[in-house]
Amino acid sequence: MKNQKAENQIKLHLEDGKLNLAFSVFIDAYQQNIYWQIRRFTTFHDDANDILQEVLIKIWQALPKFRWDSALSSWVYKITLNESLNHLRKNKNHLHQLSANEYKNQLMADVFFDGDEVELKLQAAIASLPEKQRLVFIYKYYQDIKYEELAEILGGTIGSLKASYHHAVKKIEDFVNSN
Amino acid sequence: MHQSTMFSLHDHKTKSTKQPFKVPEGYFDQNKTNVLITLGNKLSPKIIRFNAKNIAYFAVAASIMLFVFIFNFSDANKHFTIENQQITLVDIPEEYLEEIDLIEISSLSNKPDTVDIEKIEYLIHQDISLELIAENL
Repeated sequence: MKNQKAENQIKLHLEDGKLNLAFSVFIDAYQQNIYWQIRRFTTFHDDANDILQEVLIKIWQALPKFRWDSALSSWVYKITLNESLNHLRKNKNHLHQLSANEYKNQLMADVFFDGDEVELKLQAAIASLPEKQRLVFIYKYYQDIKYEELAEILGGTIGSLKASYHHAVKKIEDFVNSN
Repeated sequence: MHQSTMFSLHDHKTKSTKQPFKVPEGYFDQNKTNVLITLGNKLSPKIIRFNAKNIAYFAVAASIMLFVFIFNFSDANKHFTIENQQITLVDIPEEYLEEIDLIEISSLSNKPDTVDIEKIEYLIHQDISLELIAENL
């Protein structure tokens, strides 16, 4: 997600007091990444859209106060993660409490899902993981985030994150191969 | 033969190019427009940056205000002092003078050398001793 050129532009616009311009650059550079991160957590477009709006409002409000002593991308990841988890925890009937078959049925009925049978199984397998393993897997597998940055976002040691990813991969492959 | 059908995440990642999740047509552009309009209109936070340029502006403004304040205060004070100095017995109406005692006369008079002789005569006529007049003027 890191985009140095965009970060520099955002910083310059903020120093000039041009928040709208800074935020416009921010959206161009980060909106799609944020959305896809949320979509991987929540599966459905409507949920992802709701959370995206919340994340963008939070960032709009906090961006002028952002201290540039850490990467903007890590900060954005953290806000996105917190908003996504808050949303999922508030929603008592969220997807990760469904059985694998219920989850697959809902996914097949979604007009914004266009995956084959293997993809259906893969998504069901990811949804069945414990929260920590699911988060580590999504960040690592789909967004290829380094463990150092992942430790900053999720907490924990690099060793424990590697172990979580390893367990997640094993569980997913077992799930897909056995279903 | 069985091995070739086994699912592997590594293989899936390298072979699969198709994104299974979709978004509505033009979603990101539309969302950007909506977000900028909504946030720009309703939630504009204030940005206060204390950079060198802003601090310089504040310093210049504060100096000008301080200068104007000191100048006005000094000028008003000067006029006030001059007016005070001009108060003498000459300016005090006779009717009023009759009613006030000498201590009050002395407190109003700070320029005894300009006191009108007629006023002193008047005070003498009022049976006020010269000693008291001299002592208090």
